[in-house]
Amino acid sequence: MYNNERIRIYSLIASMLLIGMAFSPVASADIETYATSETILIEGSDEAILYSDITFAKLNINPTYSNIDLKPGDNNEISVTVTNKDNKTITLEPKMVPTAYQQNLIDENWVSITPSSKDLEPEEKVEFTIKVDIPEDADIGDYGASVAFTDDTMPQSYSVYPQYINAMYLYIEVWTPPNIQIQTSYIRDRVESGEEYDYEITLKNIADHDIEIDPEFDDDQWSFSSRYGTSGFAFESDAMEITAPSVVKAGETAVVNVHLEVPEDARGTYYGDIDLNIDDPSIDEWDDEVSLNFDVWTQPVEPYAKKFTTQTNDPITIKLSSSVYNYDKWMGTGSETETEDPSFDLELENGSGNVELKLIRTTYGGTVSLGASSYPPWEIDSAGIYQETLESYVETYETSGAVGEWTLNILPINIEEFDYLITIGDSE
Amino acid sequence: MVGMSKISIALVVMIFLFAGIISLTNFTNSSSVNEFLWTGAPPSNADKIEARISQLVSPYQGIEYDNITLATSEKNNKIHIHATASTSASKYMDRYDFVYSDNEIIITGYILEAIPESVRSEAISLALQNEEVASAMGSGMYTNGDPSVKQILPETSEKFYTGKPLISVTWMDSSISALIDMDTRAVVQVWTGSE
Repeated sequence: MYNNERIRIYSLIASMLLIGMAFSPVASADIETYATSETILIEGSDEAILYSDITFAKLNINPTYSNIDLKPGDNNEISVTVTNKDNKTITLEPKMVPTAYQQNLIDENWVSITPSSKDLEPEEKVEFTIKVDIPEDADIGDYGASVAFTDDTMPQSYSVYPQYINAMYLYIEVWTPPNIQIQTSYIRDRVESGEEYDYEITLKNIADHDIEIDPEFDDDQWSFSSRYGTSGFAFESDAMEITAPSVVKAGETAVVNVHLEVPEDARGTYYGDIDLNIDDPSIDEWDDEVSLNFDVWTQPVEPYAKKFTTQTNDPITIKLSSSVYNYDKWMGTGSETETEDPSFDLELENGSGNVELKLIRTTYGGTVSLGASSYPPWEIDSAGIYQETLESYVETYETSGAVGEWTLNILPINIEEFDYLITIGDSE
Repeated sequence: MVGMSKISIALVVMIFLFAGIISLTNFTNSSSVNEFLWTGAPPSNADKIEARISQLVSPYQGIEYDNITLATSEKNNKIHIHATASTSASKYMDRYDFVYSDNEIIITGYILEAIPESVRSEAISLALQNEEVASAMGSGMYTNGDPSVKQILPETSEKFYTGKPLISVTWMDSSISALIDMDTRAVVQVWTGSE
């Protein structure tokens, strides 16, 4: 599967190069070129370089591609203007033709084109209407094909389908609103080794029929992450257990329970997915996955020891600070647990034993976003005033100093990272 | 004649009673606050400020605030008041900014997230059923993080739809937001970040 993908990619690159070379306008003052995202014009002198044996009608097609989203049973119309840039009359007979590398080919019965044919004089233009009707029973998914206006093709070896020169690409996404709403889109939490946690994924069936589900951990995602050497998994998916009903009844809500027992020796991070395997055509293959992200955090038992030397009797000031990114507060979270307040346990000792430390200041700081242009207009006008994205916590201690060797023992509580600052003498 | 007078008096009394009920109801709706807490020393006219703020706050329909915490700061002879209102009906809080000057209090900003969970879920569900939202989120619909759900007050809503409370469901990380009329269960505006 993976090799096939690579072959496809290489073939695609090769084909794009060929097409690009074939259609690259030559830098010449007397050659008129049209090269916008909407328009393509093939000049006679261009193809002569590589395809001198090919003759084809020279048309200007605008636009050259179109993307539309439609639900089953819906329809839409697209207008395409074709201009004859040749020096002779060209007969246009638009038809649907397959295009390589499409997830699904557009069924030609879905598309009708008017007028069905047209003799176009030099410099004359005509507007074609392409009407797309999606049948009620169409499967959701991405569809593609081309509308060829002439039978001119390019020789190629990379595809079983001929490459039509005078064509526009048509892409259709057939979609339906999901019948099941996944109200917990991800689970993200900081967990401790040896502890147990429970999470809930709430599903709401808004359809008028029961829908089967079969949640399981997604092993494909697991191997993908491993291949690219992510930070290493703290534990395997067997540390978790899923319990869920097999059916979400029509109009009802169901809960998928995830129980996590973090192994005692777990360190690092876990990334994964739960594939809910929702058996309903309204749900795309990748749309029924719930992301999992667990950061295993371990409360240290032993303090961090910092040795330092003083050469005066000046007072010693110790400042400890930690930062907490409030990403979850900003984004919302699937987490079920609350982060506990940070703090520090400190001990300072010198040659004569422990020295009493006096807490002289506790500081809470933060970084607050004011929103501005990143908010929808109805929230800019009224809300979006404060969003705290970064919090800091600072403790400042002081003690009388003395010349000698010192050891500062710092035990951070509920802190992932901290800074220390030891000042001998005036601290401000 | 006497009978008519009695009827008239009775009618007048009933009208006043009715008006009183309406007036009382209006007042009760906007002043269903149980407790005010001040961070720091309350100003001398705290009672007056509390009474006015009680009238200005807008808890989501059907919920009441358990308490409102007020913090003040003074700048350019104006008192800026930040109010944080909590309710047992939601784990989220409502926040307001007021300015008090010349015996007037006006609301200058708000973030109203204290919305019952059932309403939050319903609003998210409605947003996801919108074609433009679903289309904009594409195949990553369920990996775009949890949305924020906020009440939008009529003063703001009238600029975008009509002057009534609406709900905004926003996926900030995807720059997608849906403005929803919960009465009609309709998405009335969609923002995709490029507008």
